[in-house]
Amino acid sequence: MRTFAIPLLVIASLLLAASIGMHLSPPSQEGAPPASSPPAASAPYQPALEKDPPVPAPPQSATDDFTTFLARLKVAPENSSSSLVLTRADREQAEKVFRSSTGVPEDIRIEMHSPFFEVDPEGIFALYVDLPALERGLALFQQNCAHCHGPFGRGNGSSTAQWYSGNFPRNFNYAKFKSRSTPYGAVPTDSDLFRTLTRGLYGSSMPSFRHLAPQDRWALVMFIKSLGNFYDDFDEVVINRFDPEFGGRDSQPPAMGTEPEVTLESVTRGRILFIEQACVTCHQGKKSRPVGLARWEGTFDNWRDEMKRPIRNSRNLTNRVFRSGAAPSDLFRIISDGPSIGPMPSYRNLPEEDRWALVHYVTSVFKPDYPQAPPSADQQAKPPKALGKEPAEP
Amino acid sequence: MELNRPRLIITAGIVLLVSGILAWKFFDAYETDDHRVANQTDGFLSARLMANKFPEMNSVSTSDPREEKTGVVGVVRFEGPRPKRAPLRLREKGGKVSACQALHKTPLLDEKMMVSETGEVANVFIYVKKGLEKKEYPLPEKPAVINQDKCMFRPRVQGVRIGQKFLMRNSDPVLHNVRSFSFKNRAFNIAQPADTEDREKVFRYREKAVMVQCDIHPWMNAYYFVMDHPFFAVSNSKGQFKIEGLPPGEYTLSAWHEEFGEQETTITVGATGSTDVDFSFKQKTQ
Repeated sequence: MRTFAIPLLVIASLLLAASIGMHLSPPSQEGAPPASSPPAASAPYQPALEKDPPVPAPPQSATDDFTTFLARLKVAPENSSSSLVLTRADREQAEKVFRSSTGVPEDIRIEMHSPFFEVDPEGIFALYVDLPALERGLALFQQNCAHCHGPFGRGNGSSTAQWYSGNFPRNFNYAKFKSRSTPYGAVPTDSDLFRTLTRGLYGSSMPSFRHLAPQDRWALVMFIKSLGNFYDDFDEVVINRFDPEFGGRDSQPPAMGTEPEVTLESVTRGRILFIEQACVTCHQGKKSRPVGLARWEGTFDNWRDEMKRPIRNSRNLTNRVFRSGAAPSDLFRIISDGPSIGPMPSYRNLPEEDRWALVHYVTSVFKPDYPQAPPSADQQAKPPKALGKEPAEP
Repeated sequence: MELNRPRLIITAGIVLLVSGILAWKFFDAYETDDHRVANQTDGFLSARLMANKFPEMNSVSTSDPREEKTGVVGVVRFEGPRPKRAPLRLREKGGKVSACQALHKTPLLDEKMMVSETGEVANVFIYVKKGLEKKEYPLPEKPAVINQDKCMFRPRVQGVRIGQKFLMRNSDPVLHNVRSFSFKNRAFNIAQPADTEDREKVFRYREKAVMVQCDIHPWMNAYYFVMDHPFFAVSNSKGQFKIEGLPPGEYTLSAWHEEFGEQETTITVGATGSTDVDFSFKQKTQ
């Protein structure tokens, strides 16, 4: 027996290491009791993120400058010396420059009539004469933002040539933003843009710009808004997507009720809904492990962002990295209104308590002190028959 | 102590066994099917057999609209060799064969360029671009429907009126989503699980060639135009189209195709209200 002492020691230590390793992975949900009791009924979980200081009002000069810019944009077609629409040759040149500086695969065709190639950005910049907020925004943008977002805000900065991660910088000509409080496809409010600049986007390459003075951040917000122009083929005018006449109805955040308390029932209902509403199609990876749903990331080969660059995978819901925030209100907004870019749909048609149940389930996946839904609840998932209706647009 | 060979061999064997078990439990890479793309050849072989037949296109009508001789009628033709339609690979996440494969006995062909054997182009959207007086035209009572049928959007190209109901229907046993890439109208992305009710949208602004895509099934897409007047048509499988009810006058007519681009022409509609116009497309040089 003594002759086997050392080999047995080796095997025993291997087995010990393996069992420790298995217990270190995220907790198995098969019959594991919750680590502690659920939070008290009277105090729903309030993460520190909710305590961000409120966004200050924009300085009046900045909003006035933007309004003047919109007025100049409307009369620009009559002024023949500033043509805002690029010719086809210019567009092809712009596409060549664009492709050489960012990661679009060669065989993917970027539409020549895409809005971000039709409007001449330098013609737009020429409209900023005597508008200090926009001129300051342009100067700050070239200093702070252009290395990622490109000199014209097209998302093709020189830094992006080496990115692989699938989270590329936004193209402001497209004027679609993920981190906002407005409905799907709508433009964000000014305070949404200010908040993104202040907070940064956790989990992406966008840093926080808290170090800039508030009026500088507002100048950047106005500049970013002025980049969102597209050419309307029918009426043959250039329209800014933040124009209140055009998109004014969009800038109203929909009302969000108060969050109901977190209970095992709501988390379980959220898990059932997660299956019924087919969230698992994208938010569950190749292997379904007993660890639970929403653990792995999934990817479809055709997922691309607005500039046809690949989106590598859907969000991993287990590691609490959410670019727009992991607070319950942030999750509620993303589920209701979607990110506007990429494949995630909007689920505003679901009743409010269903959406809060989904928020509770998703939070329970990354917060172990929430009640954990039992996997046996999966059997109760039925195909969704009556889905409800979205509210009509105002 | 001296080397005891049998003991060493037994120990090594047990260590290898234990590490093999651990690897099987922890390393997913050995179990994915990324690189095992099943059935690579079945689509191509039957496609060659089917190459001579013109497959059913239930998105395009085959009736001849030129039977009654009123309205603006015409044919859209194609110059050059007939473009080949590649068979669609019905693959989803990670190269896995899609559940849609079970819904198709014959291979689905790519619908980007549908040119008939006699050189006529289907799915061209023809519309009046200029010359109409601005007035309110009555809306059709029926809604415009986009149907997700056998993992394809039907119809592929259509026109919707401002204020007309646009219904999205899922007739399949699988999940689809309808994502629109519009700019003037508010974009939307609606997930429709199987057997759920129709979803409805109404558009406000006229817009050209909005693409609609399903993110779960990469080959599925469609286009719609939002129009403020009823004078538009989509060419059928024989390239024929008819726009009726145009009052006499001079108009600019435009024909749009997703691959071949857009062409304009001016027409004059006489007192009889009918005229003949043909379009001819070529392969884009890119």
